[in-house]
Amino acid sequence: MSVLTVLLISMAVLFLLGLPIYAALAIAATLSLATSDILPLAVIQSSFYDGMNIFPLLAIPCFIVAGALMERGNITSQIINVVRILVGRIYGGIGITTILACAVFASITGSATSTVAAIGAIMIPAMMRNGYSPAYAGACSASGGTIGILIPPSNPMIIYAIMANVSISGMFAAGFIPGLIMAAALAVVAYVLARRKGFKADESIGAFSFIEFLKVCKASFFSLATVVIVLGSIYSGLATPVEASIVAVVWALFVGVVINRALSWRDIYDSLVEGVMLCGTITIIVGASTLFGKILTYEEAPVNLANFMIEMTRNKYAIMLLIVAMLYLLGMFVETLAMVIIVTPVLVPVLVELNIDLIHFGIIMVMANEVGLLTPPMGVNLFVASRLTGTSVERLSLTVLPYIGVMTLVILLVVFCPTIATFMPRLLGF
Amino acid sequence: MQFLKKLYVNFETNVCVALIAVMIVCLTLQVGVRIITGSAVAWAEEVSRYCFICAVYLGTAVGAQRLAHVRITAQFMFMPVHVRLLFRMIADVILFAFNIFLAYLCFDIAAESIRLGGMSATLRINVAYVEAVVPIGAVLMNWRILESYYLHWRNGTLAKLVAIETEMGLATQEGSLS
Repeated sequence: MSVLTVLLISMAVLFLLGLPIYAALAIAATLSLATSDILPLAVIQSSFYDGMNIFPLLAIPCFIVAGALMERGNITSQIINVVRILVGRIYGGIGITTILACAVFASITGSATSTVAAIGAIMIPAMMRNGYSPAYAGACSASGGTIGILIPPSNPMIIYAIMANVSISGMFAAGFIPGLIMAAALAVVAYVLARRKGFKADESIGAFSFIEFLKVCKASFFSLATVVIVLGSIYSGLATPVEASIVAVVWALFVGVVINRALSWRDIYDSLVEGVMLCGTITIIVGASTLFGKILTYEEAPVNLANFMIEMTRNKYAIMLLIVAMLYLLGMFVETLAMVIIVTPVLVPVLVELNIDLIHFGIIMVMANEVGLLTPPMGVNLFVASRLTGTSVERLSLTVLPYIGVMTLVILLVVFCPTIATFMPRLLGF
Repeated sequence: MQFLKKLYVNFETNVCVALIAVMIVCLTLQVGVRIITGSAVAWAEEVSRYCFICAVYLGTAVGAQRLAHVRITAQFMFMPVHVRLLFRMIADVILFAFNIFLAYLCFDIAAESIRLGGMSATLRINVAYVEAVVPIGAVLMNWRILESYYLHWRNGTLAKLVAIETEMGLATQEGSLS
């Protein structure tokens, strides 16, 4: 048996046995090393250590900690108040508020799960109180939450950029316009569905008064400033992604402790634990996949895959659509960051060979991952929403279908119109 | 006694929390100094990077303790609990064996590098001491795997190990002791 056969078969078997993804990759790699003599076993240790010794990776736990602090420090609820006063009185207003609040929260956090948890925890009870059905409330929050990884900062983008060797700031810049389009598209779905079901506007808000709007803005000034500070530090080019994540943490602490006085020591500790959990269960996959990738590269697997795909067709749109379909399928079973870590190194040679812009493709990959967050059996956003609404995951997975449909349209738009993704990075010179 | 028990239960969690906290403080210091003086603090970057690596490998033990590791489990969805438990045990035996192998391999390499003494760029400490976190993490993880089996067996809650919720990565926050 060739090295590659041992590697891929043992990986598949270990995945099916239900081993942790990182362990499955590492054990498969170890087995193929042990049964051949292509590389010394010491490469296992060096990949585990060097694969993790990458400075930009530090931004990921920091953004997670920042998101957790913002959620506990009342920043979320103040952002929701502002959005509510703007769009709450439209038909289906609470649903639209949910989606747009997710988009705003997405611009200060890098994770989809924390977006749906933070916004959903406040908006789902509000929707249910106002007579919206639990299924609608859950689907709306779950799909709105996926914007969390498209509007920068974004953890999958950081991982993708490291794996594909492109600029993280470039990826961040590229995600902004597609993120706005996605938010608008999802808000339209929320509106149409609410119209059909007869879910009314948020009745607790009266007619729009500019004075009142300013009052709310003033009360939430420091929370709103979070958006400006985090996005500003990324786009101005003053801060590297790691520095931007630190700015986010420090600002979240400042607002949570000094301004809102909502953070206790316990909250800070719990936020740090969330960062730790991400390190120990997700970031570790980077180390294992470095090892796995070394063997794949040694056996020239990515290049062979590239040649194989190019033999089928040289049309880059066809290839991209094929990859999107594959990502949809994988997204049903594999967690977002894990998928980016595993798939990116394999795909990059194909993309380079076909002259596909790596940043453009990165955005498409992140968007396909958004759909993965909504498709069972492994759809994390559905689990969070199901827990918050008390609706079953099966039922929610049906009610999110209209949202998935519209998301697919937006993905197609970005596939065929690369400028949407590449305009901002070019403008900012990444 | 109560204090010792708490210390033991949350040992890796607390160490990792401290590491992440030090990482954040060092990075903050670095950003602050860069804004004020325009120059970088090289050692702060190195400390934060080492803290991160240690948090990742010790964090695998926390992940095992809280049943939070990311797995593919859709194939088990329609199986009865005892079959899922059987698969889980097979998986854990393999993982356990791999961890022992990894620890053995990495201890050897680390011991060798400690003897050779490769120094880090700015802190001038022996990098091998940081590299040793890989085998330490593996050993601690094995310990927590055994512990979770023992605790769940004692409490008669073995089924919890393979509950759909746990498997989907929505681990309980309280840890597995109580």
